[in-house]
Amino acid sequence: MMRTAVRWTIPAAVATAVIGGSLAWPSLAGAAPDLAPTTAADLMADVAGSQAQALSGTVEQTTDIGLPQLPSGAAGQDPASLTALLGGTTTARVWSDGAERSRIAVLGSLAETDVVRNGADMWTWRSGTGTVTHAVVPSGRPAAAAPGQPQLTPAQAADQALAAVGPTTQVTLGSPATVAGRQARTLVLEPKDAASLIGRVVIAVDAATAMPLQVQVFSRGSAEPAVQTGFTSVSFGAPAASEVAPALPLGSAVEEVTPQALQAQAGTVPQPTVVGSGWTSVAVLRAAGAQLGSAPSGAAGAADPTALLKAMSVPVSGAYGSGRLITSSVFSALVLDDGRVLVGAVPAPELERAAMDAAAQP
Amino acid sequence: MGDGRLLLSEFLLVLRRRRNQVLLGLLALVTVLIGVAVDVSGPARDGEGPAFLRSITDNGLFLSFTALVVSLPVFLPLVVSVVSGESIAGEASTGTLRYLLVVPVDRTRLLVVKLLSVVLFGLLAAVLVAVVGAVVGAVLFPIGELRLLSGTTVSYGQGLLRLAGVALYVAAVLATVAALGVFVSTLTEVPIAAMAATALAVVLVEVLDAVPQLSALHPWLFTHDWLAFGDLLRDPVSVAGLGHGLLVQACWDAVLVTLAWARMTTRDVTS
Amino acid sequence: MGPSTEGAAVTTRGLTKRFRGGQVAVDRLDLDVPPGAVYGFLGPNGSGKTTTIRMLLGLVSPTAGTARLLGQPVPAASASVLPRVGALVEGPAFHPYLSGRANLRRLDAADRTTAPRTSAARTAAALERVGLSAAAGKRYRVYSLGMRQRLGLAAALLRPRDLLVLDEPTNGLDPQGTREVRTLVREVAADGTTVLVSTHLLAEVEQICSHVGVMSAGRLVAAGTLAEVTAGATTRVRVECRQPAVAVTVLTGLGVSPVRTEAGTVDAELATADPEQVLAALVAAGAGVRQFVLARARLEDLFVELTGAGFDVRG
Repeated sequence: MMRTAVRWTIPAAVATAVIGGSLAWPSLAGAAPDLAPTTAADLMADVAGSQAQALSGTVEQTTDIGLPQLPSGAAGQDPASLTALLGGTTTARVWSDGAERSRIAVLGSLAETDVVRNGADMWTWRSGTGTVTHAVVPSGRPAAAAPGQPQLTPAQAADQALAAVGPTTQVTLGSPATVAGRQARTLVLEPKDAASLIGRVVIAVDAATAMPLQVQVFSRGSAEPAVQTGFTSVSFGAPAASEVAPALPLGSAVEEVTPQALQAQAGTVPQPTVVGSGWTSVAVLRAAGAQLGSAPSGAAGAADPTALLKAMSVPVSGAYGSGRLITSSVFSALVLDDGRVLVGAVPAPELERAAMDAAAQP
Repeated sequence: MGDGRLLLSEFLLVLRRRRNQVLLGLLALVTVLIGVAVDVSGPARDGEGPAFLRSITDNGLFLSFTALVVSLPVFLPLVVSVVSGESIAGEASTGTLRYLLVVPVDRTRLLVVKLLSVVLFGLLAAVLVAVVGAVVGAVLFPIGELRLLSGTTVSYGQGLLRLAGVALYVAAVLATVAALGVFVSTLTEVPIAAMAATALAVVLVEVLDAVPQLSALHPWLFTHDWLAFGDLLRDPVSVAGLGHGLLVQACWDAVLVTLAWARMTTRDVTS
Repeated sequence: MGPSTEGAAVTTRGLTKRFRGGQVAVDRLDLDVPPGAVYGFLGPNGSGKTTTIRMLLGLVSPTAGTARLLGQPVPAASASVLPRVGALVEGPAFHPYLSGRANLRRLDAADRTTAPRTSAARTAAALERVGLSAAAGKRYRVYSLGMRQRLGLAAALLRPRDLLVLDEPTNGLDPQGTREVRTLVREVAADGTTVLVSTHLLAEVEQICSHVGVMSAGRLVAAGTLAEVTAGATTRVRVECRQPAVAVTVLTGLGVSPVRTEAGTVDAELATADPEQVLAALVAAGAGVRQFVLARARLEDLFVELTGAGFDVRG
């Protein structure tokens, strides 16, 4: 008979293996691959020239920008609501045929929100309400990215980041990485302006297809990404028609949404004025204060906008007026009582300065 | 095989226990009550009540899913806590443990049989809720094609198949409660203490899972992925969440079962 | 050391159990139960009998020392040797809401070495043997203490055994039941089964046991055949006489220390003195002897002498 002490070492060993395994797994899975050398410029050109891929995969977006913890969505609630995206992790399954048709299914606990695109037609299914909305959107926009919809896929996020690259950005080649089991090269975008809250943006580009697989936004001086969106699994190849174009309940149940309504709903009617340039630019929205915080499309389960704003912000006042200030590790926002909203990837004093700028007056 | 005989004997012992029959009856009753309440008061408004409640009037099969969602956080773990807490401590308190051991029943074998019978009881409880829900749902509400979370529909037969998968997943997560309960049960000779400690431990983990500040810990809590069975109701079925859930359960199971084994095989039976 | 342990039914060497509190329940016990014996295992409460039995049956793991049952080491070979051992440990224990028969069927099902097909016949035979056939279908919770004890015996006798370990088998039985158990033990022993019986009824031990071992404070203070153990004890003499004072003087003169005098009776340990000489001397001294009784040492006296404790009879 084994001694007592020996027997207790077995559960101890199992526990150690489980904990050790769970800690070691990410580093094992993310081992750096060996890739042929290239330059940052070549890699950017590759990304720009890459074709839209037919694919199916899973995308995970994790946000940890230091905002106060918001109540997490209960089971059955809309997983694509604003509160779900401002903190925590959102998982979506994506399918694309590389051309007209695409589908993003944002997964929630016992809930799902599907955005299905076929050319100019866009259907949105919300399991929480069991409703379908249909909208005709101008073609040419990135697939499935409706105004006010989160930029969930890495390709969309990378496009945005790369479009912003200008003289204020230093672009370098990062060390290779493994993302979703695929070998990837990385581009590191660093703002030259030290006033920016953003330290760097790292884009992982698939070595084989030049498609961005992952985008990480780091706040200045931080080793952990504040925002990360990337594939956790991806396979290239045309998805089945039933997957990319599911048979949603159409007919009388479909709510038609006009492009104008769509825009109004998302609160993007006022065109922003931009103060400053590059990474430290501040967007000024007029008469938008009342709309800030409203969840995209007024989804069920979204918190009351006013309460949400209160929970995240502190009252401020100054020569520019008074209002409420939201600070996070990657952006600040100033919601003024005169209806102006200023948002930028800069510290609060920069926003206050921008609020007094002539171009930003109400 | 000798083990099948002991397992059958053990499982029948659990089933014959009047208290356990009452617990199963209460689970069935909860399911029936949900169905009757929805039938009387009409469909729920959007965002009201547990997930799937709104869909029951469209398809009676959703009564099964709703009842599982309602029962999973408290009722089902409670039932499994009671049966698993009883498992070893109950035998110790009546003194029957020493007679089983001198038959002889190998301690490891007894532990495995006890654990399996509790796991089977958990499966029975989950299947009971699913079957009662399906039957009551079919009587009170229309049945037919089932609308999935993804918005697409599948046939009623396919829906039943998915319900079976959900019941199996629920049974699998209850197996972790069973392993916890059996371990706690090896620590004491007072069954009621083992039952209470197990139920409290489950509630504690559920509370930890609800504290946002501990979100880094959440993926490793065994209750975190309990509702991942929703992935079986997507089109196509999503396996990542289910797989993670089952992996976490398996890790907990491995630790708890080896803990129970170490305790069971070294304890002095003095009751 | 004592006789050869070859073929012994129970052997322990240096068997020790120290519980977590530091309390030593069994202290370097060397126990030998010869095959075919009916071994009376005696000792006051807390002397370590039950802990010893629990160690033999693998319920409690020894702190030190070894134990063998039917020649095989336990607990290492428990799985192969325990099926040949029937046991009643610290009273019967069964599931209260199952019938007597169902309880036995459950224990039978737990035994991998029995054939499932003959389970019903086996349990029926065991119930018959202890006279419980009529009450077999009743729930255990309504059984009287005596019926419970019988069911415990039935469980120990579910199949032919080479060794029976019975802890207080007559506890709670009425005189009729006690007699039946005694008969049962004799029958079983006659079939060649070794019986290790722990009891507090010394009269019972004297009637059925061939060997005894006496435990005190975790140690074996006397062991051997019943005759060997009681031989060590002194014979007592009881003299009823007209002149007790004379008798005391005579007895003291012979080196016999009188113990008690009361109402014309002198009671003394005879030790090595010859009873005939003692009687002759008493008569010669004119003590007026009315009655002269020699009493062989009783186990109870021996027990008190060895353990320094009276029996507190368990309720």
